[in-house]
Amino acid sequence: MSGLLQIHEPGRTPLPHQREDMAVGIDLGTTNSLVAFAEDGQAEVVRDSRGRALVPSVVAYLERGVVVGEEARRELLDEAERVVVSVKRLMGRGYEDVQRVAGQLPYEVEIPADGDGGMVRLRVAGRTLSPVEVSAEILRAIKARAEAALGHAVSRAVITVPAHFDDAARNATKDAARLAGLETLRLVNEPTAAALAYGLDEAAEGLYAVYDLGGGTFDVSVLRLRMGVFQVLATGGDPLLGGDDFDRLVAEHFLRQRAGVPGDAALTSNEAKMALISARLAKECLTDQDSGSWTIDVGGRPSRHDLDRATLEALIEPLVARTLDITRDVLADAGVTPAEIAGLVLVGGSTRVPMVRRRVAEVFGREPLDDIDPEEVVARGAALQAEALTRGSQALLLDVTPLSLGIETMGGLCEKVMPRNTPVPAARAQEFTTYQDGQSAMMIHVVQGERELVAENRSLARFELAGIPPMAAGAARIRVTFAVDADGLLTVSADEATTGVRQQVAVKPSYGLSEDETAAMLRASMEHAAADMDARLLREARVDGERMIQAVTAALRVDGDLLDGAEREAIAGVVEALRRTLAGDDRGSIQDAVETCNAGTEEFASRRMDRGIRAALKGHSVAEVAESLSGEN
Amino acid sequence: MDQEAPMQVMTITDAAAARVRAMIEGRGKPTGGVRVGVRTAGCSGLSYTLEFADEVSEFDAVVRHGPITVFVDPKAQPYLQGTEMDFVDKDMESGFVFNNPNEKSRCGCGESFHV
Amino acid sequence: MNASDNAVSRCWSCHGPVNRGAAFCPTCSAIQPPHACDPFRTLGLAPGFDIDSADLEQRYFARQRELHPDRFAANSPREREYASRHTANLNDAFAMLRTPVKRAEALLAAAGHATGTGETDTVADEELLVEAMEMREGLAEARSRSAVDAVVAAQEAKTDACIAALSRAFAAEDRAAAARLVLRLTYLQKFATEARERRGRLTAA
Repeated sequence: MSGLLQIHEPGRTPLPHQREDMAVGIDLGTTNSLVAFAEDGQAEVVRDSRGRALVPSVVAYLERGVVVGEEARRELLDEAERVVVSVKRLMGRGYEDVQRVAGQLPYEVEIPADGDGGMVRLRVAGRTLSPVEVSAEILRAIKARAEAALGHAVSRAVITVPAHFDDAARNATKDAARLAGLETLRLVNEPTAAALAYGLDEAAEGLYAVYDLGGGTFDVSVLRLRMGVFQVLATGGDPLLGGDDFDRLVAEHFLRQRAGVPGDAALTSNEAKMALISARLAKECLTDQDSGSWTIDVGGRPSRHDLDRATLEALIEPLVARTLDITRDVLADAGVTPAEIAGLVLVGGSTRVPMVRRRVAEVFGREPLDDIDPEEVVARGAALQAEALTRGSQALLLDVTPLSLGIETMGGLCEKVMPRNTPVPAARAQEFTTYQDGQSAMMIHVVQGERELVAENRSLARFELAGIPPMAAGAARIRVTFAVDADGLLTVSADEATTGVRQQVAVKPSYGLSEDETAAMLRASMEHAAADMDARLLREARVDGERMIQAVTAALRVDGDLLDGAEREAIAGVVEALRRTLAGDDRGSIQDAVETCNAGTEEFASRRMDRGIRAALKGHSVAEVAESLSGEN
Repeated sequence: MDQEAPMQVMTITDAAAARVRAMIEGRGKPTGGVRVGVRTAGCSGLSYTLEFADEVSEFDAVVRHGPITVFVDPKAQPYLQGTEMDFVDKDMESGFVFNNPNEKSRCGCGESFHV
Repeated sequence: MNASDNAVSRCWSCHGPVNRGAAFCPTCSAIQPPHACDPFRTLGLAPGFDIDSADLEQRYFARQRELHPDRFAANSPREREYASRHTANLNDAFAMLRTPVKRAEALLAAAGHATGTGETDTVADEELLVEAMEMREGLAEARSRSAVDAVVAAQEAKTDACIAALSRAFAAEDRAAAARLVLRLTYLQKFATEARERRGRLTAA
């Protein structure tokens, strides 16, 4: 924390703040991932020695080990069956979810063993992997890259997720970070991060629309920027729509052209993978060129395929039209007309497709802002938020729930508890009652989505409320509170109002990993897990110790007259002892010192309480002081 | 005062000189001195670099304090006019500090500055 | 239990006295667990129907800046949880006070007066039913964007008049009249949504 300089080897003077544990921003994308860091509101993307910021979100499970990024992507040509791409599309997904995309995914998915939900597993190179583990490999590589660039360990990150990611996918992302040895400071929605990158750079005010079409996901958000507050008014998207789908349509077009190959062949074969690679290349080339020709060569049977931009646009038109429909819906949800939008931000590699740019610009009647690279803008925003969270900032992010939260009622209907676009954090309580005499338990099924029928929404969790005191039917009043935090994650608690029995509800996530599974994975990656955990616990102990010192110092300042000289010295002694332990790295002795401090100030605290209560009885003082402090500013 | 010549770009305190000497001895290889530079980085725009001087430029300004030589990068000279290089040894940490009259603002951490 | 126990609680951090309902300890500034309180108090306002929306929003942002969990990212999990709960209350209060219908409902509920906007309530107000039917017909007959705009303009004038009448009813403490006006305002707003949707369809066509 000081400005003291050291002498370094030539060329090795670290960047300012390097000695500190700088938190980074990570854009964990479907196709590419990247990491950035920020200092004093200036974000910088981490690049490799060749200046490349993007790390392909590709993991190859080779005989020589696991490789990630460009190196893994090259393996697609030789050992495609060992390579996992687009794993983000499977985060927090059940087998039935991926049926829609199964056959479009270039690897096999496995039906969960218990047959009752759970996240899908991949079969790759003889291994069975959860999407969380694969994502953790990408995050490990990203973390290593950031550490190499910054010259110190990186243990905390802001990670971005698609705005419409549901609870399961958000939890899966946090789990992946944990496996990779990263503490997630905050999950930030990708369009919100993009707005942050633009807003802070330009101190912009007004209404902004962010259209984010990535490799596998589509998001659109409308935000209002005002006095440093980033207020999301509405958000929407499609979890399974992105540039990958453009590639798939082009690949299918190519495969139809290849004689003797049916166009609807499942894309699990090598042929399909080659077609996808060519399709992707073709799509990217047609950004600048009007037409081109590509070769697909599988098993010594090469075929040539011509494609021009008009054909490409005809192929992807239905998907682009769908994104525009969603965009109009979100504008309506926000109660905003396109003309009121002061700035249009395009995010994601797929917005490089000329047709996408053109059509979006038409909807808004304006050209998009393009000062910031659309593939880097999300990571930059995440880095700015990481800096804001760890170093303080006047900017504030107010986000919303992307999907409505509901519960199953009689007949498989969904009753909305919290509508979409509710500002988070949010809490809603709902009362339930029993329908049988003496009923002691009831099942509650929580779903996320906009449809009327439970079966058409995403199942989030089922849990049983047990231990209801025996009462007549309809007499029990069970209040269930659904709380969504700033990360968009749900927790549920319940209490019975007539008896006051309170219960923490064990929520079994429908598509998550169980605690046991996560613990097992953590053990399996022991090389850093132990060190990371120790560092984190030490940090928490320090936070607690510093808070204790601050609290006692403040109390002495206000109520020090309640103590005699010897008492004051005794307290000063335990505080000083605590201060000394904080200078070291021993968590145990910090915790002990905090305990000693607690015990040593107990008598002081009760005298302070007595004084406070006496003052309150006189009808003034504490109340007024507290009021003036909390009511001001 | 430990100032040797009035025209030097910057000055070095006894404490700083002693520390530089100790660091050079501790490095275990022949070293001609240390080199001070400035680069654009950090929260307030500029930050100092302080490195062992294995290579020096003929345009470097040379500041001597007893047996110790400090080279100042030509790009840094305009920013460092009148700066005093000191060494601070506190309970928790020790290190060099540049007392630079040209600094208009400094970031909270003290690692970078603005002129 | 006496009155003073209710008025003063113990700060979890410095163990000193804190006025119940205060968000921060007056001694050590630690964030305190939130207590249920009415939306007006949450935003530091006196209960009343007439609210300056710019002032309301300023208060909301100011409270967010103090209480949002992002402000406590470097603090203990306990403090982050308290911040999260405070902010959830704040979001609720702001949502309630920013729209005239919900604000009026909150005032009526605080006074123990039913509003009649619940789903199971039937509408007994003949005049209102006729007005609602006429508005729907007018909208159904509007076949161009400009025709819809005219219907919307007429409806907006009615909404403004209704809000002004509601303000007068509250000023006169005529809760029965206020309850009737709340119902009317609910209808007018439902209609506004329908009109917007219809206009959107005409645009798309």
